[in-house]
Amino acid sequence: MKNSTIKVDYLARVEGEGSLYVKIKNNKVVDAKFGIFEPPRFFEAFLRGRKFTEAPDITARICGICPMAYQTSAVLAMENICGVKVEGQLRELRRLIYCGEWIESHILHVYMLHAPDFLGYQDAIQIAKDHPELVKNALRLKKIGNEIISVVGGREIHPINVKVGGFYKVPSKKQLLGLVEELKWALDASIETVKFMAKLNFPDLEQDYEYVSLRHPDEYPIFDGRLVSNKGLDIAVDEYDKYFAEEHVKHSNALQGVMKERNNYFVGPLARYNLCFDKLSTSAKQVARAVKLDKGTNNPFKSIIVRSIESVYAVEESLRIIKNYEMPEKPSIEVVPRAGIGYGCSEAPRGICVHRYKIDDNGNILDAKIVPPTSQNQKTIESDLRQLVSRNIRLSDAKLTWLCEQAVRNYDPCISCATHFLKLNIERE
Amino acid sequence: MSNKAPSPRSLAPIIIIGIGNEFRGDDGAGLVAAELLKAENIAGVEIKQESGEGAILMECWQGYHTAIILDAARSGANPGTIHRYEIQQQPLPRSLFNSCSSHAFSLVEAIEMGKLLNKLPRRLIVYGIEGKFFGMRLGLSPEIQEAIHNLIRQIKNELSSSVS
Repeated sequence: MKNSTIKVDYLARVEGEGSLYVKIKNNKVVDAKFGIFEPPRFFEAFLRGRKFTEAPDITARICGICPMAYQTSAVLAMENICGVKVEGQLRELRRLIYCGEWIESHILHVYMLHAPDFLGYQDAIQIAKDHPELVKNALRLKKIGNEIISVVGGREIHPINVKVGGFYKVPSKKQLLGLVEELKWALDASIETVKFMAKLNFPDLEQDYEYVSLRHPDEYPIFDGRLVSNKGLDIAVDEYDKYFAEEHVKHSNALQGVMKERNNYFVGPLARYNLCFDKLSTSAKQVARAVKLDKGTNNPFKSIIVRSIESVYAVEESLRIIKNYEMPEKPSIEVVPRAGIGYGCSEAPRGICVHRYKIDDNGNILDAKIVPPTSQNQKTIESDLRQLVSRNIRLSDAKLTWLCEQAVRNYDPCISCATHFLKLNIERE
Repeated sequence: MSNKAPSPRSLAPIIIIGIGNEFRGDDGAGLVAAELLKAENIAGVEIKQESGEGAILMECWQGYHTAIILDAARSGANPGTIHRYEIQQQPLPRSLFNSCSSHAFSLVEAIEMGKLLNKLPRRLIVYGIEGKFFGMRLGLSPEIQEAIHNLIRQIKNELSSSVS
Protein backbone atom coordinates (compact mmCIF):
# COMPACT_ATOMS: atom_id res chain seq x y z
CA MET A 1 0.00 0.00 0.00
CA LYS A 2 2.81 2.37 -0.88
CA ASN A 3 0.73 4.52 -3.17
CA SER A 4 -2.80 5.43 -2.38
CA THR A 5 -5.51 8.05 -2.58
CA ILE A 6 -8.03 8.68 0.16
CA LYS A 7 -11.21 10.22 -1.18
CA VAL A 8 -14.32 11.01 0.75
CA ASP A 9 -16.85 12.42 -1.62
CA TYR A 10 -19.37 13.54 0.94
CA LEU A 11 -18.20 14.04 4.48
CA ALA A 12 -20.98 13.17 6.88
CA ARG A 13 -21.70 15.03 10.08
CA VAL A 14 -20.30 18.38 9.06
CA GLU A 15 -22.55 21.29 8.48
CA GLY A 16 -22.94 21.65 4.73
CA GLU A 17 -21.13 19.63 2.09
CA GLY A 18 -17.46 19.38 1.24
CA SER A 19 -14.74 16.95 0.26
CA LEU A 20 -11.36 15.63 1.30
CA TYR A 21 -8.59 14.50 -0.98
CA VAL A 22 -5.25 13.04 0.16
CA LYS A 23 -2.65 11.69 -2.26
CA ILE A 24 0.09 9.30 -1.08
CA LYS A 25 3.11 8.48 -3.23
CA ASN A 26 5.84 6.06 -2.04
CA ASN A 27 4.42 6.26 1.47
CA LYS A 28 4.69 10.05 1.52
CA VAL A 29 1.80 12.48 1.47
CA VAL A 30 2.17 14.59 -1.64
CA ASP A 31 -1.15 16.41 -1.60
CA ALA A 32 -3.95 17.17 0.85
CA LYS A 33 -6.96 19.21 -0.14
CA PHE A 34 -10.04 20.22 1.75
CA GLY A 35 -12.55 21.21 -0.90
CA ILE A 36 -15.82 23.03 -0.68
CA PHE A 37 -17.96 22.78 -3.76
CA GLU A 38 -21.26 24.24 -2.81
CA PRO A 39 -21.64 27.32 -5.00
CA PRO A 40 -20.50 30.51 -3.33
CA ARG A 41 -23.15 32.29 -1.40
CA PHE A 42 -24.30 35.54 -2.76
CA PHE A 43 -25.03 37.22 0.51
CA GLU A 44 -22.41 39.89 0.04
CA ALA A 45 -24.14 40.84 -3.22
CA PHE A 46 -27.66 40.54 -1.70
CA LEU A 47 -26.62 43.14 0.85
CA ARG A 48 -25.61 45.89 -1.56
CA GLY A 49 -28.35 48.50 -1.83
CA ARG A 50 -30.13 47.31 1.33
CA LYS A 51 -30.48 49.44 4.45
CA PHE A 52 -27.86 49.20 7.19
CA THR A 53 -30.60 48.09 9.56
CA GLU A 54 -31.37 45.04 7.39
CA ALA A 55 -27.91 43.47 7.61
CA PRO A 56 -28.48 41.53 10.86
CA ASP A 57 -31.66 39.84 9.59
CA ILE A 58 -30.27 39.08 6.14
CA THR A 59 -26.94 37.70 7.35
CA ALA A 60 -28.67 35.60 10.05
CA ARG A 61 -29.91 33.43 7.19
CA ILE A 62 -26.36 32.43 6.22
CA CYS A 63 -26.43 29.75 8.89
CA GLY A 64 -29.16 27.90 10.81
CA ILE A 65 -26.64 26.84 13.48
CA CYS A 66 -24.93 30.14 14.20
CA PRO A 67 -27.25 33.01 13.23
CA MET A 68 -26.25 34.95 16.36
CA ALA A 69 -22.67 35.21 15.17
CA TYR A 70 -23.78 36.83 11.92
CA GLN A 71 -26.32 39.09 13.58
CA THR A 72 -23.88 40.20 16.25
CA SER A 73 -20.98 40.89 13.88
CA ALA A 74 -23.37 42.80 11.59
CA VAL A 75 -24.80 45.05 14.32
CA LEU A 76 -21.34 45.69 15.76
CA ALA A 77 -20.04 46.75 12.36
CA MET A 78 -22.96 49.13 11.78
CA GLU A 79 -22.62 50.62 15.27
CA ASN A 80 -18.89 50.97 14.63
CA ILE A 81 -19.61 53.00 11.48
CA CYS A 82 -22.23 55.18 13.20
CA GLY A 83 -20.13 55.85 16.29
CA VAL A 84 -22.44 54.10 18.74
CA LYS A 85 -21.52 51.72 21.53
CA VAL A 86 -24.16 49.50 23.11
CA GLU A 87 -23.38 49.06 26.80
CA GLY A 88 -24.90 47.92 30.08
CA GLN A 89 -27.79 45.48 30.19
CA LEU A 90 -28.31 45.57 26.43
CA ARG A 91 -24.75 44.42 25.96
CA GLU A 92 -25.31 41.75 28.60
CA LEU A 93 -28.38 40.52 26.72
CA ARG A 94 -26.29 40.23 23.57
CA ARG A 95 -23.84 38.09 25.51
CA LEU A 96 -26.65 35.99 26.92
CA ILE A 97 -28.21 35.17 23.56
CA TYR A 98 -24.75 34.40 22.19
CA CYS A 99 -24.16 31.99 25.11
CA GLY A 100 -27.38 30.25 24.01
CA GLU A 101 -25.87 29.75 20.58
CA TRP A 102 -22.59 28.40 21.99
CA ILE A 103 -24.50 25.90 24.11
CA GLU A 104 -26.72 24.57 21.33
CA SER A 105 -24.00 24.51 18.69
CA HIS A 106 -21.29 22.99 20.93
CA ILE A 107 -23.57 20.33 22.41
CA LEU A 108 -24.88 19.32 18.99
CA HIS A 109 -21.33 18.99 17.70
CA VAL A 110 -19.83 17.28 20.74
CA TYR A 111 -22.50 14.59 21.15
CA MET A 112 -24.19 14.17 17.78
CA LEU A 113 -21.41 14.86 15.32
CA HIS A 114 -17.98 14.33 16.90
CA ALA A 115 -18.41 11.79 19.73
CA PRO A 116 -19.42 8.99 17.31
CA ASP A 117 -15.92 9.24 15.72
CA PHE A 118 -14.20 8.63 19.05
CA LEU A 119 -16.57 5.89 20.17
CA GLY A 120 -16.40 4.00 16.87
CA TYR A 121 -20.04 4.56 15.96
CA GLN A 122 -21.30 5.43 12.51
CA ASP A 123 -23.58 8.10 13.91
CA ALA A 124 -25.38 9.40 16.99
CA ILE A 125 -28.29 7.01 16.40
CA GLN A 126 -25.93 4.13 17.22
CA ILE A 127 -24.94 5.92 20.45
CA ALA A 128 -28.62 6.33 21.30
CA LYS A 129 -29.09 2.55 20.96
CA ASP A 130 -26.34 1.79 23.50
CA HIS A 131 -26.54 4.87 25.71
CA PRO A 132 -30.06 6.32 25.53
CA GLU A 133 -29.68 8.35 28.75
CA LEU A 134 -26.54 10.05 27.46
CA VAL A 135 -28.31 11.16 24.30
CA LYS A 136 -31.43 12.25 26.18
CA ASN A 137 -29.26 14.45 28.40
CA ALA A 138 -27.49 15.86 25.36
CA LEU A 139 -30.81 16.80 23.79
CA ARG A 140 -31.95 18.40 27.04
CA LEU A 141 -28.70 20.37 27.28
CA LYS A 142 -28.98 21.56 23.71
CA LYS A 143 -32.55 22.61 24.34
CA ILE A 144 -31.60 25.07 27.06
CA GLY A 145 -29.42 26.84 24.48
CA ASN A 146 -32.39 27.05 22.14
CA GLU A 147 -34.59 28.35 24.94
CA ILE A 148 -32.21 31.20 25.70
CA ILE A 149 -32.29 32.16 22.03
CA SER A 150 -36.10 31.94 21.95
CA VAL A 151 -36.59 34.08 25.04
CA VAL A 152 -34.10 36.79 24.05
CA GLY A 153 -34.25 36.46 20.26
CA GLY A 154 -37.92 35.84 19.63
CA ARG A 155 -37.46 32.40 18.05
CA GLU A 156 -34.78 29.73 18.05
CA ILE A 157 -33.61 29.37 14.46
CA HIS A 158 -33.30 32.79 12.94
CA PRO A 159 -33.85 35.16 15.84
CA ILE A 160 -35.84 38.22 14.85
CA ASN A 161 -35.38 40.43 17.87
CA VAL A 162 -31.83 41.69 17.32
CA LYS A 163 -31.33 45.12 15.78
CA VAL A 164 -28.67 47.72 15.25
CA GLY A 165 -28.59 49.57 18.60
CA GLY A 166 -29.97 46.72 20.71
CA PHE A 167 -33.27 44.81 20.53
CA TYR A 168 -36.83 45.38 19.36
CA LYS A 169 -38.13 44.18 22.71
CA VAL A 170 -36.29 43.15 25.84
CA PRO A 171 -37.30 40.29 28.12
CA SER A 172 -38.49 40.93 31.68
CA LYS A 173 -36.48 39.70 34.62
CA LYS A 174 -39.22 37.15 35.26
CA GLN A 175 -38.89 35.72 31.78
CA LEU A 176 -35.16 35.23 32.25
CA LEU A 177 -35.61 33.78 35.73
CA GLY A 178 -37.74 31.13 34.07
CA LEU A 179 -34.54 29.75 32.55
CA VAL A 180 -32.61 29.45 35.79
CA GLU A 181 -33.76 26.08 37.05
CA GLU A 182 -32.90 24.33 33.80
CA LEU A 183 -29.59 26.19 33.57
CA LYS A 184 -28.65 24.92 37.02
CA TRP A 185 -29.28 21.38 35.82
CA ALA A 186 -27.29 22.21 32.70
CA LEU A 187 -24.28 23.36 34.74
CA ASP A 188 -23.97 19.91 36.34
CA ALA A 189 -24.74 18.14 33.07
CA SER A 190 -22.15 20.12 31.14
CA ILE A 191 -19.49 19.44 33.79
CA GLU A 192 -20.28 15.72 33.46
CA THR A 193 -19.97 16.13 29.70
CA VAL A 194 -16.40 17.43 30.08
CA LYS A 195 -15.47 14.47 32.31
CA PHE A 196 -17.00 11.98 29.86
CA MET A 197 -15.32 13.49 26.79
CA ALA A 198 -11.94 13.72 28.55
CA LYS A 199 -11.88 9.91 28.88
CA LEU A 200 -11.98 9.34 25.11
CA ASN A 201 -8.89 8.19 23.22
CA PHE A 202 -7.21 11.00 21.34
CA PRO A 203 -5.10 10.40 18.25
CA ASP A 204 -1.67 12.07 18.38
CA LEU A 205 -1.44 15.28 16.45
CA GLU A 206 0.22 18.51 17.45
CA GLN A 207 1.48 21.32 15.32
CA ASP A 208 3.02 24.70 15.91
CA TYR A 209 -0.23 26.54 15.27
CA GLU A 210 -0.85 30.26 15.25
CA TYR A 211 -4.09 30.68 17.21
CA VAL A 212 -6.15 33.80 16.60
CA SER A 213 -9.04 34.99 18.74
CA LEU A 214 -10.52 38.06 20.29
CA ARG A 215 -9.17 38.90 23.72
CA HIS A 216 -10.96 41.15 26.17
CA PRO A 217 -9.42 42.46 29.41
CA ASP A 218 -12.35 41.42 31.62
CA GLU A 219 -14.17 38.51 30.05
CA TYR A 220 -13.88 35.36 27.99
CA PRO A 221 -14.16 36.57 24.40
CA ILE A 222 -17.55 36.57 22.67
CA PHE A 223 -17.42 40.03 21.12
CA ASP A 224 -15.36 43.16 21.74
CA GLY A 225 -11.67 43.22 22.49
CA ARG A 226 -8.59 42.98 20.29
CA LEU A 227 -7.56 40.33 17.83
CA VAL A 228 -4.55 38.55 19.26
CA SER A 229 -2.42 35.50 18.53
CA ASN A 230 0.13 33.38 20.39
CA LYS A 231 2.75 34.70 17.95
CA GLY A 232 2.53 38.37 18.67
CA LEU A 233 -0.50 39.61 16.76
CA ASP A 234 -2.32 42.29 18.77
CA ILE A 235 -4.53 44.51 16.63
CA ALA A 236 -7.82 46.38 16.72
CA VAL A 237 -10.65 44.66 14.83
CA ASP A 238 -10.72 47.42 12.21
CA GLU A 239 -7.10 46.66 11.30
CA TYR A 240 -8.22 43.20 10.13
CA ASP A 241 -7.64 43.82 6.42
CA LYS A 242 -4.10 45.04 7.03
CA TYR A 243 -3.09 41.69 8.50
CA PHE A 244 -5.43 39.13 6.95
CA ALA A 245 -6.29 38.20 3.37
CA GLU A 246 -8.47 35.71 1.55
CA GLU A 247 -7.08 33.62 -1.30
CA HIS A 248 -8.95 31.82 -3.99
CA VAL A 249 -7.85 28.22 -4.62
CA LYS A 250 -9.00 26.06 -7.49
CA HIS A 251 -10.42 23.15 -5.44
CA SER A 252 -12.66 25.21 -3.18
CA ASN A 253 -15.56 27.60 -3.66
CA ALA A 254 -14.76 29.21 -0.34
CA LEU A 255 -11.95 31.71 -0.15
CA GLN A 256 -9.15 30.51 2.15
CA GLY A 257 -8.09 32.83 4.94
CA VAL A 258 -4.39 33.57 5.43
CA MET A 259 -2.37 35.96 7.53
CA LYS A 260 -0.37 38.22 5.29
CA GLU A 261 3.30 37.20 5.17
CA ARG A 262 2.62 34.42 7.70
CA ASN A 263 0.26 31.89 6.08
CA ASN A 264 -2.35 29.74 7.85
CA TYR A 265 -3.87 30.27 11.28
CA PHE A 266 -6.32 28.59 13.63
CA VAL A 267 -9.60 30.05 14.92
CA GLY A 268 -12.28 28.58 17.19
CA PRO A 269 -12.63 27.02 20.63
CA LEU A 270 -9.00 25.82 20.84
CA ALA A 271 -7.71 29.29 19.93
CA ARG A 272 -9.96 31.05 22.44
CA TYR A 273 -9.12 28.51 25.13
CA ASN A 274 -5.35 28.67 24.66
CA LEU A 275 -5.32 32.46 24.44
CA CYS A 276 -7.92 33.34 27.08
CA PHE A 277 -8.02 30.48 29.60
CA ASP A 278 -7.51 32.98 32.44
CA LYS A 279 -10.89 34.60 31.63
CA LEU A 280 -12.99 31.44 32.02
CA SER A 281 -15.54 31.14 34.84
CA THR A 282 -14.84 29.32 38.10
CA SER A 283 -16.56 26.03 37.27
CA ALA A 284 -15.06 25.93 33.79
CA LYS A 285 -11.55 26.38 35.19
CA GLN A 286 -12.19 23.84 37.93
CA VAL A 287 -13.31 21.12 35.58
CA ALA A 288 -10.44 21.94 33.21
CA ARG A 289 -8.03 21.32 36.09
CA ALA A 290 -9.87 18.13 37.01
CA VAL A 291 -9.31 16.75 33.51
CA LYS A 292 -5.73 18.12 33.41
CA LEU A 293 -6.33 20.49 30.53
CA ASP A 294 -5.71 23.73 32.41
CA LYS A 295 -2.34 24.25 30.73
CA GLY A 296 -4.02 24.38 27.32
CA THR A 297 -3.53 21.91 24.50
CA ASN A 298 -2.19 21.83 20.95
CA ASN A 299 -3.96 18.60 20.03
CA PRO A 300 -6.91 19.60 17.82
CA PHE A 301 -8.68 16.29 18.63
CA LYS A 302 -9.03 17.59 22.18
CA SER A 303 -11.24 20.36 20.85
CA ILE A 304 -14.13 18.07 21.84
CA ILE A 305 -13.13 18.58 25.49
CA VAL A 306 -12.58 22.30 24.96
CA ARG A 307 -16.04 22.68 23.39
CA SER A 308 -17.47 20.93 26.44
CA ILE A 309 -15.56 23.29 28.77
CA GLU A 310 -16.81 26.29 26.80
CA SER A 311 -20.33 24.91 27.25
CA VAL A 312 -19.80 24.93 31.03
CA TYR A 313 -18.63 28.52 30.66
CA ALA A 314 -21.64 29.53 28.56
CA VAL A 315 -24.05 28.03 31.08
CA GLU A 316 -22.34 29.70 34.03
CA GLU A 317 -22.09 33.03 32.20
CA SER A 318 -25.83 32.83 31.39
CA LEU A 319 -26.61 32.29 35.06
CA ARG A 320 -24.44 35.28 35.99
CA ILE A 321 -26.11 37.57 33.44
CA ILE A 322 -29.61 36.54 34.50
CA LYS A 323 -28.79 37.01 38.18
CA ASN A 324 -27.60 40.60 37.62
CA TYR A 325 -30.20 41.47 35.00
CA GLU A 326 -32.32 44.57 35.33
CA MET A 327 -34.73 45.21 32.51
CA PRO A 328 -33.47 48.27 30.60
CA GLU A 329 -35.85 51.21 30.14
CA LYS A 330 -35.42 51.20 26.39
CA PRO A 331 -34.84 48.12 24.28
CA SER A 332 -32.38 49.92 22.03
CA ILE A 333 -30.44 53.11 21.54
CA GLU A 334 -30.91 55.29 18.51
CA VAL A 335 -28.44 54.83 15.70
CA VAL A 336 -28.29 57.57 13.06
CA PRO A 337 -26.54 56.48 9.87
CA ARG A 338 -23.47 58.26 8.60
CA ALA A 339 -21.22 57.47 5.69
CA GLY A 340 -18.24 55.31 6.49
CA ILE A 341 -16.60 51.91 6.65
CA GLY A 342 -16.75 49.77 9.78
CA TYR A 343 -15.87 46.35 11.15
CA GLY A 344 -17.63 43.96 13.48
CA CYS A 345 -16.14 40.75 14.88
CA SER A 346 -17.59 38.12 17.18
CA GLU A 347 -16.59 34.63 18.29
CA ALA A 348 -18.95 32.26 16.50
CA PRO A 349 -18.90 28.76 18.05
CA ARG A 350 -16.36 27.89 15.29
CA GLY A 351 -14.22 31.03 15.62
CA ILE A 352 -14.07 34.67 14.61
CA CYS A 353 -16.72 35.89 12.20
CA VAL A 354 -15.66 39.20 10.66
CA HIS A 355 -17.97 41.62 8.86
CA ARG A 356 -17.00 44.82 7.05
CA TYR A 357 -19.53 47.23 5.58
CA LYS A 358 -19.45 50.50 3.73
CA ILE A 359 -22.59 52.62 3.98
CA ASP A 360 -23.63 56.09 2.77
CA ASP A 361 -25.21 58.95 4.73
CA ASN A 362 -28.70 57.50 4.14
CA GLY A 363 -27.69 54.17 5.60
CA ASN A 364 -27.58 52.31 2.26
CA ILE A 365 -25.07 49.47 2.13
CA LEU A 366 -22.54 50.12 -0.64
CA ASP A 367 -20.25 47.18 0.02
CA ALA A 368 -20.18 44.13 2.28
CA LYS A 369 -17.52 41.59 3.17
CA ILE A 370 -18.20 38.59 5.39
CA VAL A 371 -15.43 36.26 6.55
CA PRO A 372 -16.83 33.15 8.28
CA PRO A 373 -14.65 31.05 10.61
CA THR A 374 -14.55 27.93 8.46
CA SER A 375 -12.96 29.68 5.52
CA GLN A 376 -10.21 30.86 7.85
CA ASN A 377 -9.52 27.33 9.12
CA GLN A 378 -9.40 25.66 5.69
CA LYS A 379 -5.64 25.87 5.25
CA THR A 380 -4.98 24.62 8.79
CA ILE A 381 -7.33 21.69 8.18
CA GLU A 382 -5.28 20.77 5.09
CA SER A 383 -2.04 21.01 7.04
CA ASP A 384 -3.48 18.74 9.79
CA LEU A 385 -4.50 16.17 7.19
CA ARG A 386 -1.01 16.13 5.71
CA GLN A 387 0.54 15.57 9.16
CA LEU A 388 -2.01 13.04 10.26
CA VAL A 389 -1.75 10.86 7.18
CA SER A 390 2.08 11.01 7.29
CA ARG A 391 2.06 9.78 10.90
CA ASN A 392 -0.45 7.01 10.22
CA ILE A 393 0.58 5.98 6.74
CA ARG A 394 0.56 2.29 7.66
CA LEU A 395 -3.11 2.25 8.54
CA SER A 396 -5.59 0.78 6.08
CA ASP A 397 -7.37 3.19 3.78
CA ALA A 398 -10.62 2.63 5.68
CA LYS A 399 -8.99 3.54 9.02
CA LEU A 400 -7.16 6.49 7.50
CA THR A 401 -10.37 7.79 5.99
CA TRP A 402 -12.12 7.53 9.35
CA LEU A 403 -9.25 9.40 11.00
CA CYS A 404 -9.26 12.14 8.37
CA GLU A 405 -12.99 12.72 8.72
CA GLN A 406 -12.59 12.84 12.49
CA ALA A 407 -9.78 15.40 12.06
CA VAL A 408 -11.89 17.64 9.85
CA ARG A 409 -14.63 17.60 12.46
CA ASN A 410 -12.11 18.95 15.02
CA TYR A 411 -12.88 22.25 13.38
CA ASP A 412 -16.67 21.77 13.38
CA PRO A 413 -16.63 23.16 9.87
CA CYS A 414 -19.73 25.03 8.98
CA ILE A 415 -19.41 24.68 5.27
CA SER A 416 -22.72 26.25 4.53
CA CYS A 417 -21.35 29.38 6.15
CA ALA A 418 -18.00 29.22 4.42
CA THR A 419 -20.04 29.30 1.23
CA HIS A 420 -20.82 26.48 0.95
CA PHE A 421 -21.20 21.86 1.08
CA LEU A 422 -18.05 18.46 2.01
CA LYS A 423 -16.60 14.99 -0.15
CA LEU A 424 -12.90 12.41 1.22
CA ASN A 425 -10.40 10.98 -1.19
CA ILE A 426 -7.14 9.23 -0.24
CA GLU A 427 -5.14 8.36 -3.35
CA ARG A 428 -2.07 6.13 -3.09
CA GLU A 429 0.26 5.77 -6.00
CA MET B 1 -41.17 37.58 21.60
CA SER B 2 -41.98 33.94 21.89
CA ASN B 3 -41.90 33.43 25.55
CA LYS B 4 -45.13 31.51 25.55
CA ALA B 5 -43.64 28.02 25.18
CA PRO B 6 -45.66 26.28 27.89
CA SER B 7 -46.00 22.54 27.82
CA PRO B 8 -46.77 21.59 24.21
CA ARG B 9 -49.53 19.34 25.53
CA SER B 10 -51.68 22.40 26.12
CA LEU B 11 -51.33 23.34 22.44
CA ALA B 12 -53.06 21.95 19.38
CA PRO B 13 -53.17 18.18 18.97
CA ILE B 14 -51.71 18.45 15.47
CA ILE B 15 -48.50 20.18 14.41
CA ILE B 16 -47.45 20.82 10.83
CA ILE B 17 -43.75 21.61 10.37
CA GLY B 18 -42.44 22.98 7.10
CA ILE B 19 -38.66 22.58 6.71
CA GLY B 20 -36.06 23.68 4.18
CA ASN B 21 -33.85 26.52 3.03
CA GLU B 22 -35.56 29.33 1.18
CA PHE B 23 -32.27 30.43 -0.39
CA ARG B 24 -31.86 27.09 -2.19
CA GLY B 25 -34.65 27.27 -4.76
CA ASP B 26 -37.14 24.42 -4.45
CA ASP B 27 -35.60 23.35 -1.12
CA GLY B 28 -37.91 26.04 0.30
CA ALA B 29 -41.05 24.12 -0.81
CA GLY B 30 -41.87 22.89 2.70
CA LEU B 31 -41.54 26.41 4.10
CA VAL B 32 -43.80 27.90 1.45
CA ALA B 33 -46.42 25.16 1.98
CA ALA B 34 -46.38 25.84 5.75
CA GLU B 35 -46.78 29.56 5.13
CA LEU B 36 -49.85 28.97 2.92
CA LEU B 37 -51.35 26.56 5.45
CA LYS B 38 -50.90 29.16 8.16
CA ALA B 39 -53.08 31.55 6.17
CA GLU B 40 -55.84 28.90 6.14
CA ASN B 41 -56.19 29.21 9.93
CA ILE B 42 -57.17 25.61 10.49
CA ALA B 43 -58.56 25.11 14.00
CA GLY B 44 -56.60 22.78 16.23
CA VAL B 45 -53.51 22.84 14.03
CA GLU B 46 -50.22 24.46 15.03
CA ILE B 47 -47.92 25.42 12.15
CA LYS B 48 -44.15 25.96 12.34
CA GLN B 49 -41.32 26.64 9.92
CA GLU B 50 -37.88 25.24 10.73
CA SER B 51 -34.51 24.73 9.06
CA GLY B 52 -34.78 20.94 9.50
CA GLU B 53 -32.08 20.49 12.16
CA GLY B 54 -32.91 17.12 13.76
CA ALA B 55 -32.72 17.93 17.46
CA ILE B 56 -35.04 20.88 17.01
CA LEU B 57 -37.53 18.76 15.04
CA MET B 58 -37.58 16.30 17.95
CA GLU B 59 -38.46 19.15 20.28
CA CYS B 60 -41.11 20.54 17.93
CA TRP B 61 -43.22 17.40 17.71
CA GLN B 62 -42.84 16.57 21.40
CA GLY B 63 -46.27 16.26 23.07
CA TYR B 64 -48.34 16.29 19.87
CA HIS B 65 -50.57 13.42 18.89
CA THR B 66 -49.94 13.94 15.18
CA ALA B 67 -47.09 15.66 13.36
CA ILE B 68 -47.02 16.36 9.64
CA ILE B 69 -43.64 17.27 8.12
CA LEU B 70 -43.41 19.09 4.80
CA ASP B 71 -40.01 18.88 3.12
CA ALA B 72 -38.50 19.07 -0.34
CA ALA B 73 -37.50 15.73 -1.89
CA ARG B 74 -35.01 14.76 -4.57
CA SER B 75 -35.58 11.22 -5.86
CA GLY B 76 -35.50 11.71 -9.60
CA ALA B 77 -39.31 11.64 -9.93
CA ASN B 78 -41.08 14.33 -11.95
CA PRO B 79 -40.78 17.76 -10.34
CA GLY B 80 -43.90 18.46 -8.32
CA THR B 81 -44.54 14.78 -7.45
CA ILE B 82 -45.89 14.50 -3.90
CA HIS B 83 -44.47 11.64 -1.82
CA ARG B 84 -46.29 10.62 1.34
CA TYR B 85 -44.96 8.44 4.16
CA GLU B 86 -46.76 7.28 7.25
CA ILE B 87 -43.77 6.69 9.51
CA GLN B 88 -45.41 4.18 11.85
CA GLN B 89 -46.14 2.03 8.81
CA GLN B 90 -43.12 2.50 6.54
CA PRO B 91 -39.55 3.76 6.99
CA LEU B 92 -38.56 7.04 5.38
CA PRO B 93 -36.18 6.44 2.48
CA ARG B 94 -32.96 8.24 3.33
CA SER B 95 -32.11 8.76 -0.33
CA LEU B 96 -35.11 10.98 -0.84
CA PHE B 97 -34.48 13.60 1.76
CA ASN B 98 -30.86 13.50 2.81
CA SER B 99 -29.44 15.18 -0.24
CA CYS B 100 -31.49 18.33 0.20
CA SER B 101 -30.40 19.13 3.70
CA SER B 102 -27.06 20.61 4.51
CA HIS B 103 -27.49 19.30 8.04
CA ALA B 104 -26.09 15.89 8.83
CA PHE B 105 -28.40 15.39 11.80
CA SER B 106 -31.57 15.90 9.86
CA LEU B 107 -35.12 14.63 9.44
CA VAL B 108 -34.27 10.98 8.78
CA GLU B 109 -31.92 10.82 11.75
CA ALA B 110 -34.39 12.64 13.99
CA ILE B 111 -37.04 10.06 13.17
CA GLU B 112 -34.65 7.14 13.80
CA MET B 113 -33.51 8.64 17.08
CA GLY B 114 -37.08 9.51 18.06
CA LYS B 115 -38.00 5.84 17.62
CA LEU B 116 -35.11 4.70 19.82
CA LEU B 117 -35.72 7.22 22.57
CA ASN B 118 -39.50 6.93 22.46
CA LYS B 119 -39.83 10.52 21.36
CA LEU B 120 -42.06 10.26 18.31
CA PRO B 121 -45.64 11.53 18.11
CA ARG B 122 -48.31 8.81 17.95
CA ARG B 123 -48.74 9.54 14.28
CA LEU B 124 -46.04 11.01 12.03
CA ILE B 125 -46.64 11.78 8.38
CA VAL B 126 -43.93 13.10 6.04
CA TYR B 127 -44.80 14.77 2.77
CA GLY B 128 -41.97 15.17 0.27
CA ILE B 129 -42.39 17.65 -2.53
CA GLU B 130 -40.18 16.63 -5.44
CA GLY B 131 -38.07 19.66 -6.38
CA LYS B 132 -36.28 20.57 -9.57
CA PHE B 133 -33.76 23.29 -8.79
CA PHE B 134 -31.68 23.28 -5.60
CA GLY B 135 -29.13 25.95 -6.49
CA MET B 136 -28.84 29.45 -5.06
CA ARG B 137 -32.11 31.21 -5.67
CA LEU B 138 -35.00 32.73 -3.80
CA GLY B 139 -38.38 31.37 -4.91
CA LEU B 140 -39.79 28.09 -6.26
CA SER B 141 -40.02 26.66 -9.79
CA PRO B 142 -43.53 27.10 -11.32
CA GLU B 143 -44.36 23.37 -11.30
CA ILE B 144 -43.49 23.20 -7.60
CA GLN B 145 -45.73 26.18 -6.85
CA GLU B 146 -48.59 24.34 -8.51
CA ALA B 147 -47.84 21.09 -6.69
CA ILE B 148 -47.96 22.91 -3.36
CA HIS B 149 -51.55 24.00 -4.00
CA ASN B 150 -52.52 20.37 -4.61
CA LEU B 151 -50.63 19.34 -1.49
CA ILE B 152 -52.52 21.86 0.61
CA ARG B 153 -55.85 20.52 -0.68
CA GLN B 154 -54.69 16.99 0.13
CA ILE B 155 -53.66 17.94 3.67
CA LYS B 156 -56.91 19.78 4.32
CA ASN B 157 -58.89 16.73 3.16
CA GLU B 158 -56.76 14.50 5.31
CA LEU B 159 -57.27 16.71 8.35
CA SER B 160 -61.03 16.95 7.91
CA SER B 161 -61.41 13.21 7.42
CA SER B 162 -59.26 12.44 10.46
CA VAL B 163 -61.37 14.88 12.55
CA SER B 164 -64.67 13.35 11.40
